[in-house]
Amino acid sequence: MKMKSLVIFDFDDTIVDNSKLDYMGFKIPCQKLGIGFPTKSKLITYRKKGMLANEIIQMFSSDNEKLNKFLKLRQNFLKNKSSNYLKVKPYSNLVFQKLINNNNELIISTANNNTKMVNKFLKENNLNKFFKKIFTMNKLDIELENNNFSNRILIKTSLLRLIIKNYKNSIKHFIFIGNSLEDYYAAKKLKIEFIYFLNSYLPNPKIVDLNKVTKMTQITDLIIGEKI
Amino acid sequence: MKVLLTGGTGFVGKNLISHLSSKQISVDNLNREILKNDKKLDKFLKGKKSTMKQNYDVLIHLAAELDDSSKQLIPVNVSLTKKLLDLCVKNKINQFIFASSHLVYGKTNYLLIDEEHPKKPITNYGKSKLHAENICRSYSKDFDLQVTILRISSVFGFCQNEKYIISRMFKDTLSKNIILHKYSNGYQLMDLIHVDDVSKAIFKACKSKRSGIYNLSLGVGITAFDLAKIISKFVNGCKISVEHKTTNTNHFLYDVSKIKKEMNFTAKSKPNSKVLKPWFEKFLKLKQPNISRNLNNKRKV
Repeated sequence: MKMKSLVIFDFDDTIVDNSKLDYMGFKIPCQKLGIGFPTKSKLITYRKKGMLANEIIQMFSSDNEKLNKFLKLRQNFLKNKSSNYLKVKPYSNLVFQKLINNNNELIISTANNNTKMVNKFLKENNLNKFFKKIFTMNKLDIELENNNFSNRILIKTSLLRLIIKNYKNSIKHFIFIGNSLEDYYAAKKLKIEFIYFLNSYLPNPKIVDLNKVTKMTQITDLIIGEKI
Repeated sequence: MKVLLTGGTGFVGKNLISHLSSKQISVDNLNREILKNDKKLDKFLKGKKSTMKQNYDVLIHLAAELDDSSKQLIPVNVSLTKKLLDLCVKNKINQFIFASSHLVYGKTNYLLIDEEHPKKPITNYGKSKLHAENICRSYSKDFDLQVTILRISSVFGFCQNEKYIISRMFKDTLSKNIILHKYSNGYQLMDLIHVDDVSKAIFKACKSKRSGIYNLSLGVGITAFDLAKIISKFVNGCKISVEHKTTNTNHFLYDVSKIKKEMNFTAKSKPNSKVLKPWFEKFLKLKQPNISRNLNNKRKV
């Protein structure tokens, strides 16, 4: 039998499509504050350039007070309304079931600190049966600003390291599926196999020798050699 | 139990002697004069040889060169460590406790930093400590010697030199302005340990007689900004100047579960207001003995 692998899925923009949530996270706070906000297509363009929310909104308002209020409102919106605007990526259930049938164990690792929301979303979409554990920021018990690249890599690497420690006695092979450069660097630091889930939302990384997928169904092909 | 010590006149060493003495443990300090001079060391060893054979149970090696650009870095931190390991083997001292440093890890790959974290020291000091650790490990394997390596994080406590963060912030309060950019961007996560806790851990290490490598820290993260907030409240009108100098900071937070599990040791003293305020009052008395300062619990900006 094939060696058992632990397949670690990132959550935001990997298992779920966050684009609507991201857009609404601009629209609703900006409407409340009376400031402009990007259209859906413009937002995608900005995100593809790697721009953060505070950098995007600065193009619409130079008022520092409003900017701070926006960030707080956005944070609250994302925390409270998240699951309403998230969408599971097509064929996810099928892919997860195939992976499990082929002697793999699935877990989620996310820098998201809203464990309740992640759990709620998985339950509502009948995905909770596939994932034995969910590792969120809360498991790390550290507080780091999430707004700079090196901190985000550190958070992602720390989560992966925690997972390896938890599973090292039972599983020897780890595969991480993520959608960002931070995910890639975290996996690289810990010498974990990595699959890059490209989406229309983030720039296509110029890294050679990188396993890339654009659809959920391509994952089974890469991991178990079965096409869906 | 009889202990032979190096670095007994340093910040940690003085505290350790006092702690071990309170536990009725006899400590002899191999001072710098003896350590620097081979003839004097030989004389000391010859004179004490019979005593050592019978009595010394452990050698605690704290002495270190801290200056990163010093030419003494290798002779003190590496060669001296080897010499002391030889001394243990020759004189049948069964245990060697080596005060290493958290700086052996270098750039942080992940948090919590455990003992298995990659070791790529950035500073010369960190490199010299790692080199010395490797020598310690080989002696532990090759000879019947219990070697305990303690990777000590940044130590704080009373009477510490002003180049260290807390004393430096105390000094800043004299001009009523704690400048955060001195500490990267002020948001760097640090994991400090109180000097009393270091002494307690070394005492535990002496008793446990375990070979191994252990992180020695509080295991609780604090930023320079958090510290500045606590310290600024000690003085009326003290400001905190935040200047974001860099965003690529190296965060330190240690996994201390191994020392807890194997030596039953947990550091207790946190760098909070209760611990820092008495120290700060002493600092003021030393700095401004004739000036009565208005200490209060609320910061007014």
